[in-house]
Amino acid sequence: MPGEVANIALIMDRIGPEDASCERPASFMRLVERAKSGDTAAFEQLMILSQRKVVSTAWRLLGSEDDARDAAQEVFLRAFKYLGRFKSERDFYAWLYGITINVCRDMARRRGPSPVSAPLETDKRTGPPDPLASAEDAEARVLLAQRRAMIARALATLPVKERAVIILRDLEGLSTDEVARIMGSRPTTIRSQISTARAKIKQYCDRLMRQERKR
Amino acid sequence: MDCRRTENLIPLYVEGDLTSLQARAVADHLHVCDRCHSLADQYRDSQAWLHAYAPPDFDSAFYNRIRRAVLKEIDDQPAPGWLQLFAQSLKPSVVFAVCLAVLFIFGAILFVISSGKPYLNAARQDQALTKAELQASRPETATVPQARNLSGAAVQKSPAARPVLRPSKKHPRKLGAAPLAPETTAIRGRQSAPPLVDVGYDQKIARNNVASDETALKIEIQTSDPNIRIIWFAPKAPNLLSPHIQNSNR
Repeated sequence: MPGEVANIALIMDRIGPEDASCERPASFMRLVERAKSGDTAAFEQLMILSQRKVVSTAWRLLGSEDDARDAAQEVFLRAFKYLGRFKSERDFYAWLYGITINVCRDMARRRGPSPVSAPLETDKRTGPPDPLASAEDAEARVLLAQRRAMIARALATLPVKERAVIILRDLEGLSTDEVARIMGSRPTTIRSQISTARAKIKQYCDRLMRQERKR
Repeated sequence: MDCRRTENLIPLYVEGDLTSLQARAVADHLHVCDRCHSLADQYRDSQAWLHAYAPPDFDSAFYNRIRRAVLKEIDDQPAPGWLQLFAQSLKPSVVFAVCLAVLFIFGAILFVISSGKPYLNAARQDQALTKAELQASRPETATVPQARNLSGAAVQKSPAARPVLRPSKKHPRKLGAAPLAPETTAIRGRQSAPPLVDVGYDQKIARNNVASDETALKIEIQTSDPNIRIIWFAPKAPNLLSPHIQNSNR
């Protein structure tokens, strides 16, 4: 079974989320059908195949590891609960993205507005400075961490819909039409939201960079 | 394409979200306009930073914890019954439409019931009137309303003191000095096929019933409003009724 899952994962990664709806492997569809009939083992395989997408989207939307874990759990629970409503001709990942967006929106609403006025912090992932690394490398790492923090804060300033749209389009790599289907909007509306969100992020980054230069 | 239009399209141009025609137009403008070219470069930088916003590499233990928690929650849940499965398979839009339809039907039934009440009341009144007429048509069983004085107390009168309505000798068209006692009216017979009688006020009414005996006359008039029926007790005087009614009464 793990071999089968690995094969499906390889095929799905090669196809990519945009084409997954039209060229889904039959084995993946069988897995979905088994999960729909209440097979928890099949559902676990589906979780293994989709967990990275769900967690990364949730993390980008909520900005915290703990929140992303809680959101992912809720997403999979809802997916299992409403799997009976999923139509086989639809893209499973698009359906799961839709649930993820809804769950994260609910969590963000419960949590309240994000603190966007916090000072820029270095990314935890940069870790302690490596004594053997050159000064240029260390500087580049710090710069990268600062930019990531800046983007995180810029995303946090966006309305939930715009944030979701730009994360799905620019970071998850879905097409505009696919994002429109997930969000239940028209492609022209999504294109307008994407344009607005990109402009806001650029303006926010420009402002922060100017402030940094003044210091 | 002018600068203003290009500025609006640059956020979509940098990620290839424009149609080929629009993209070519923007590209042509960027070749000749340094300011818009610089703006497009800035957008490319901010998009590059955005793409660098990648999630951390979560280890397999992190994902295992999520899966275990989900499966434990699923196992802890009781097996859904057929009703729950049916409810889950329903679409919210379908449920909403059904609820709306039920509400509409319920409202329509309520409306019909409430608007039908006046007719029901009118029908009940008609039934009561018919019963009263039937009782009144039998002299031995006719119920007689008691005469009351101003304070509302019943006025007892001996049978001998009961006045009998007779036309005055001096004024044969007027009633006699004594008022008409209703209990003295023994009503017999009915007239059918009531003709319309113009009673003034531009209102046509149908004369339903004219019943009479030697002393008094009862006239029932059904107005055009089904809820209003006029019952008139009158002394039987030869010249009291209009010739038209007299003819029809005969």
